[in-house]
This record gives sequence, structure tokens and C-alpha cells, in this order.
Amino acid sequence: MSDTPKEITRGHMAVFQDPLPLVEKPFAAYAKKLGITEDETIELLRHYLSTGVIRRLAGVLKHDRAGFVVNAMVAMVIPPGECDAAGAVLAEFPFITHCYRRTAYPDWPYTMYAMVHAKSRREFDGDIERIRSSVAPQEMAVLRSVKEYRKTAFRMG
Amino acid sequence: MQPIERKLLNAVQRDFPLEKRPFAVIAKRHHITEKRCIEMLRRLTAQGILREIRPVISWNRVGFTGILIGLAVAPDRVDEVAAAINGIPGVTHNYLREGRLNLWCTLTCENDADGQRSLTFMRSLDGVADVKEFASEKTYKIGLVLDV
Repeated sequence: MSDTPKEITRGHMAVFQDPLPLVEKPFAAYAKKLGITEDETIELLRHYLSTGVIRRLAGVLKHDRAGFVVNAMVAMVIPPGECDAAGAVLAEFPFITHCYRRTAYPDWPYTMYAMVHAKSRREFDGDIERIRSSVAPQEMAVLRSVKEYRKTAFRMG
Repeated sequence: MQPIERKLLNAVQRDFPLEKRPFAVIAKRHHITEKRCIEMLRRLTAQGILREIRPVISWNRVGFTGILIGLAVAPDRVDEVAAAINGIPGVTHNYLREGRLNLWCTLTCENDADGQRSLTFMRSLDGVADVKEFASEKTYKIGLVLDV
């Protein structure tokens, strides 16, 4: 299937941005809003999953309530030419959920960012040590989460 | 949490069945009834452990841009600044962290002008000493799956 025009895709995402209801036939809610059958709705989801417009259809946990009580953004200075190799190594760690290369500044020189989630301080310290020994960043800042003011999924207005 | 609840949480984070009755499929894999599976997931949601089950959308594929912003905020002003930032449409994450840049938020916006307007607003807030925009240059992992 070819890519759907952007305006049509946006109309579909306005419906798919809602969470799936926890009922026997959860896709019926989307189908009703889209004015199509449940089978067609499932096909449409399959299409967007295959094109990557929808990354995943999945349960999203609340980290701290699910037992991940120590969370941090780890910023690292990795030389530009070594970022891809380091990124590949970091992506393999199960305790890292997100990893990006980002813009650096003279007074904030970090180029690599990894989100780390651990069930205890002890486990967390071990995770940080594994990052340090595997990618050997020139500098590393461990920015532990202190307070969550907001965590939500984006919604179109 | 009971072992079956952990198993369900791990299951719904990956391979969610694209079937008319997906919870019946998950239930069968775990040798429980569909009714019990739905009830358990509802309870885990009510307890705030499971946020929700949803399509995770790549908003950049439909014309939106997400940026990470780090701010240096005076410690005695951080609650007020965080509340003001939460009032900006498109702010999805907002965390107080250890470090010189101590408030970190993500902003999803439709165009560069909207993004710049939001950054200007953040810079104008009392107690804010620095605001830095961290564009993502390359993505190495967007996982979101955690074994509980």
C-alpha cells in the first residue's frame, strides 16, 4: 500500500490518538468514529504500523508505579565520529529505553542522551557503570529524575 | 503484583494482537479467561501501573516536530516555572532533574514559529537563567518496553 495523503492520515490519527478501551472488542470504538467496520479499522492500523506512522500498538507503563523507581537522563560527550558505534552499543542495553544524538553547546558539550530506568539504586549504579565501561564517554552527566511535573502522550488539538 | 499481572504487563508491551478480540488472544496465551484478562488490565490501570494501551504515533510523520528543552531554573522558582510550562500546548513531558540544567521538557509543535514562541515565553519566566533547545540529530533507540 502506498503512503496515504497527509491530511487523510491526520484525520485517522485524530481517532487513533485515543487509548484503546479495555473491553472485549476495543477496536469497535475506533471503527465507530471512523465510520468503517472493525475489520477495516484493523487493516488501517496494520497499514500505518507497516509504514511506521504508528510505531507500535502497545501498553505504556507508568515507570515509577511499575517498579522503576530510579530514572535518569544520562548525557555523554562522545566524539562525533564515534556516536553511531556508541549508539548501537547503548541501544542493546535493556535498561535504556531511548537514545539520541543531539545538538551540543560550548557550555553544555554532551552529544549523546540515554534514558535509564532501574528498580533500585544498586541496579542503577550497575547500569551506569556498564555504560561507562562499554562506551567510555569523555564526560558524563547523570541527571536523575527528581520530580515529574508532566508525562503524557501528545494529542492533536 | 501477582506473577500473572507481571506477565500481562510484559505481554501488552509487545506484540499486541491485531484481532477483533485481542484480549481473548492474550488470555489464551496465559491460560486465563478473556474476562479475567480485561479485569486485571483495568485494575492495573486503576492502580496507575499501566498508563494505557494505545497506538504510539510518530507525530513527525504527519508534520509535527518534537524538541527537548533544558532549562536552568532557580530552585525556589522551579514549581512555578514548571506549572507555567505545563500551560503551553504541546508540552508532553516535564521533569525536575539533578544538574545545572534542572528542568527538562519535551514540546511537540506544528511549525518552527510555534516552537520559537514557546522558547521565548520560557526565557521570559521569572527565575529562568538559561533555556537550551536540543534537537534530535539521530535516533538510536525508541524502546519503551520494560520487563517488570
